[in-house]
Amino acid sequence: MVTSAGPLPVTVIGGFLGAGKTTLVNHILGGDHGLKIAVLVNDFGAINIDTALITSMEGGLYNLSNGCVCCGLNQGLVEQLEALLTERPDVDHILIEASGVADPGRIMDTVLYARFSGRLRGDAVLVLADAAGFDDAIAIAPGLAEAQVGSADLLILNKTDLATRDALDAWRKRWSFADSRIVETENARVPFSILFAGETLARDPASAFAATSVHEQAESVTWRHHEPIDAKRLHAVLATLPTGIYRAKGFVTASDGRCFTVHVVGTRVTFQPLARLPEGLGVENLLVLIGFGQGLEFERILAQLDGCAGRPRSIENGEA
Amino acid sequence: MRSLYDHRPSHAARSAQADLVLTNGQIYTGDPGLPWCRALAVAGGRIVARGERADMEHLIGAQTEVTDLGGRFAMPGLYDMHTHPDLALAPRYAEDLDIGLVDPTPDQVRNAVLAYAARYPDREWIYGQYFVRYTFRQAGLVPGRDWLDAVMPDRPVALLDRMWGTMMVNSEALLRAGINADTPDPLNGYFERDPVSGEPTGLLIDGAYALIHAAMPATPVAVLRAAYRDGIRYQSARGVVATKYVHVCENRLNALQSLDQSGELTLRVEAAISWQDDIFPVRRRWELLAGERHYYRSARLDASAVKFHFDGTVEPRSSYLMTPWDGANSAWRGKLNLTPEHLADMIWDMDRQGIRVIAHCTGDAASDTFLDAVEAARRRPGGLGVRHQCAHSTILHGSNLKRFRDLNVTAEFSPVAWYPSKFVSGARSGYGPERLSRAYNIKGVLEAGGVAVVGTDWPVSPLDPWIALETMVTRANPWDEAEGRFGEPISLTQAIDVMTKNGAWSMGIEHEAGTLEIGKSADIIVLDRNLFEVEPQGNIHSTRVDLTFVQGQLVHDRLNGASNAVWHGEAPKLW
Repeated sequence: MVTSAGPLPVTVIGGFLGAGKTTLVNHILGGDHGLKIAVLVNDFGAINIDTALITSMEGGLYNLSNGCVCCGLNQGLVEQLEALLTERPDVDHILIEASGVADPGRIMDTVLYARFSGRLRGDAVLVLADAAGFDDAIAIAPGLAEAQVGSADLLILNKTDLATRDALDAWRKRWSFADSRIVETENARVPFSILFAGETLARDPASAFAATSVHEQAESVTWRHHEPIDAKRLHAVLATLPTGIYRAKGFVTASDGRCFTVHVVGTRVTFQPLARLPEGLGVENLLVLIGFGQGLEFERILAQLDGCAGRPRSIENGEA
Repeated sequence: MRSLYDHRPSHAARSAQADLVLTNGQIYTGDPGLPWCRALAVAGGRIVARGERADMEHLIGAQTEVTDLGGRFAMPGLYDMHTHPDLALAPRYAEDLDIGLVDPTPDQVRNAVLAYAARYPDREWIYGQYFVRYTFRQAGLVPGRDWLDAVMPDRPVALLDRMWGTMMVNSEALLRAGINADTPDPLNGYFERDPVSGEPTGLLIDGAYALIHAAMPATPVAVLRAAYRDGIRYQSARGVVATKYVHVCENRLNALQSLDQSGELTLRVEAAISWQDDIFPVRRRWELLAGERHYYRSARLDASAVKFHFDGTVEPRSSYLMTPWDGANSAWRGKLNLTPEHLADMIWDMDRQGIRVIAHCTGDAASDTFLDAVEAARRRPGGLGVRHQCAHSTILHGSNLKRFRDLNVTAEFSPVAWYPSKFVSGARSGYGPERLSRAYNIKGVLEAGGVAVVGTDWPVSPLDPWIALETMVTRANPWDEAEGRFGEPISLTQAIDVMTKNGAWSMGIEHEAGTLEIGKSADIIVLDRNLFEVEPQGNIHSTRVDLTFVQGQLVHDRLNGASNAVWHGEAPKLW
């Protein structure tokens, strides 16, 4: 599998106080994903990093033994991101932990500022919700739950072990949109293949997934096509994928000759213009889709993707 | 423009009698030569006699108004040298669309837009708040130009979202603002675009909607006039006789002139034209600065000033500092909004036209750079030596304290955080303990021989000048909401000087106003308490102003509704 160094992906993690944001950050910082992840935390004191993991501290950045970096959001977000881009060009992914009372969508807005164009890519807004304590939390700050859920590309329904199945279903009924992707977790153990699939395509998704408690199995399918596609049509297909599809990544060639890197994370679809396709891709269009659960209808999706191209695909079905 | 009719040519015969005599008062003059007197006479708007009632007898004629102060305390009126009643109050009068629902559904947004459009058929733009992305997602709809075009295709529409971070506009609004696929994004925001075509979707984030604001009609004069009128009425009722409205545009000047002409500009106003478009777009800025400003000039109104933001503020850590914000942890020192070279040329160019430069400088490096630019301008030929103004002066470097005197620059301070409060322990603590310990160093500037003034900077802090006066003396919370003291207090006499004669100096009128001296303007306030006889803490801020005279005219009368004052009764409640 070919990857290309493009803009650095940024994930914003939102959710109320107590929803599990810090637990998720710790799960990522201590996790075996092989990525160099920079985490910008809202409250540095709350992140209880094992001091044995810290190898050095310079300019407010804590370097961890697994290659990750951690720093507090104690200067402006824009400045912190600029500093990170300058001082640590080696990181693979940035995570920003939003304050519990913030709309994480507003933080993603800043990431998408033109000044970061070509350097940062908004990967996803992840919003955690405490399955058991959500109603208590929303009572404290009216309107905030709507803002947070409304800006989520992926919803993490956390602490499912503390809630009944009926309560979980009721939450889904009340808070999900028709296109919502909802991952249920205990202890905020979100599968790394959902968090970082864009970067781990080269690895075996199953290994990254093994440590998690999600009951469903990740499945992936690869679409290849040699004919240029209608980019607008493709965008429409990707924006309406079944909710079982959590991620997609790949490269496409439009009928006007332009090339794009394509990212789908939950409900966020990004087309990044590309000067040329990566060397050795060997095909004009390649997309890897990752999904969970029953009835992913991969065949129907592949047919829809084929419909974006002038002629039928030449390779029937790829493997992850 | 009352003074136009009242103007007396210098060789015209003058009446031997006073227009107004105040008797039986405890009158603090602010003049070290005669700090106290019991009676004052006023003729032609100026003070013509001071002393005892007996000293005034020969000036009292049939036309003389004699007011017995009944032993009350009087003093020179106050100077608020930086404030913005227009920014605080104009939205109340603008009648923009306000959907008025917490979570309006797309249907409710559509109905509100259509109802507003029908109600205001002559309004070019439909502008207001707000929509909520959540309810659009819930309905399976995508907010943006396509949705809004279906609602209102032919009139430009711009709606803010609840968080004020996103603006949704229709195609007509984009067209009028000249926003299309080729428009570059601003640095502090972006146009959401179709990922394939690059066409704007009609959602504008943060700084991107400045382009829409620039394309919209400016806030109408009538709205600004109503806003200023409320602010002026309040200021007169609180004893303010002179003020600086920093940030004005042509419409704002027209609003002020309209009040002046109808006799409702009951204080002197120095209006500073905005140098940048960051608060509102200023159309025809260069015409105004080049000479049109003179058309507004009267005894009460003067637009010979400019205002701009040289650095940022504490909350987003954009104040420009000498040392990094976060100690050794990062090199971030904040930022300047204009290059030092731009500033140096601008100050010199404005100075030689007699235009005062008022520069927002919160960080110590911003004021340092500003003072450098003034120093450079002073050395260049052609300058008039205008007294420029360092606005806010929140953190000053010790070495710069004496430069205010040396360079004839006014150090202006705003009371927003110079006494303990939740705001100080919260947002303001961002400066760090060392910098906070030397914040709002009024005493330092005064001790170095410089001129310090106060600007309430409303709506940043309240428009009431008495809170500022009390807390300069106490540096404590007037309402016991927070404990302790903050910074170095100054004496009551010094504080009164700061809010009276120093203000006059910063407006360049100290030879004709600011103290109660013979020949000076009769800008007098009569209070319900003697400031020198009350315990300052908890008592100065609640001072009530019974009478306010500006240029000898009674502009405010708190107690007598039948008097010929312009305003009567208590100050209106504005916040």
